Amino acid sequence: MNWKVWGLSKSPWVYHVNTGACNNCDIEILDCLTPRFDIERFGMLLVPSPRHADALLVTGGVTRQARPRLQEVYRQTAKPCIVLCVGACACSMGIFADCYHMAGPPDKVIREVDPSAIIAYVPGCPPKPEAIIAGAVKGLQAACKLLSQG
Amino acid sequence: MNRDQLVKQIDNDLGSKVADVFRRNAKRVYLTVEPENSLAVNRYLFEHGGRLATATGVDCRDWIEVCYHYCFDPLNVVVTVKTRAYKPACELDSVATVFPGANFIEREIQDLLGAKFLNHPDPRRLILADDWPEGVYPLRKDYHHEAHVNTGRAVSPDHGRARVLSALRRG
Repeated sequence: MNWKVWGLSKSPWVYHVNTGACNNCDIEILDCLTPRFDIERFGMLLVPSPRHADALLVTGGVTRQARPRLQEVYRQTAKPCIVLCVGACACSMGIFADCYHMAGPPDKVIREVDPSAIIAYVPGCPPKPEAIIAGAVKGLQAACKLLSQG
Repeated sequence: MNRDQLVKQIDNDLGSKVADVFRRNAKRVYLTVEPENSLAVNRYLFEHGGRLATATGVDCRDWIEVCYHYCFDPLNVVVTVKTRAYKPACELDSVATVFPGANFIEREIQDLLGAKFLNHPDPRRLILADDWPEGVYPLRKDYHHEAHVNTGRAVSPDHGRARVLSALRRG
């Protein structure tokens, strides 16, 4: 296993991007950090800069205004990284599909700058903290498998 | 003062400036006002205890109706001033010159419906994206979604009516 992949597999640091969510998913993410779920015991930490992050956690469909900003944040994130799309809007635009102010789901927007981005999806409106944790674990396992293959 | 006295006072003081006073129920009053009198009527309500709760706009094809909603909290009454910004100019005096609380909501109506507020202190774009084209107003009735946003579908010349109608027919 490559040392970069080994580094990604444990204690991922997370940068949270809200690209147009209604704040409900953001509250559930906050729940993951508070004592009942306490994901910090696994070394997962919300960090204030994408340069420190191993994972981008995106909530909400991407608005036209947020599109270039999300792409810039993705460019700044240290590679290899994984993208976690949390919530129905981030997975498939939810009720905002085809709205006049929307640019598309985050996976499409990120693939415009990096077609080989590793993206995990956590559906739900909002997803439970258990689902977010399960999504993070599955995403990391899949990412490490993909990256160590080549 | 009670509600009836308030409505009577508004009627007496504003007189000819208000085209119509409609009292839908005890707590709801609508004043229809021509655009040239809008500023005076809004200023009167503000100076007589009205609190601007919000403003709203509707595209009525030949004009844009802008409604200012005033709460008179001790009386539990809402008075709405209905004004028309006639197309194509869609111009209306800004109320934000009288009280700054109307500033952002007028900018929002300007963005989404294209009403122009004259003498507005800060008429920059507020909520539409920076790359949104000038002169396209998404909440207008004649806004053509597929022409402005790439939804991946073909642009239909009938604004998608055929698609909607056939879906309705199918039930």
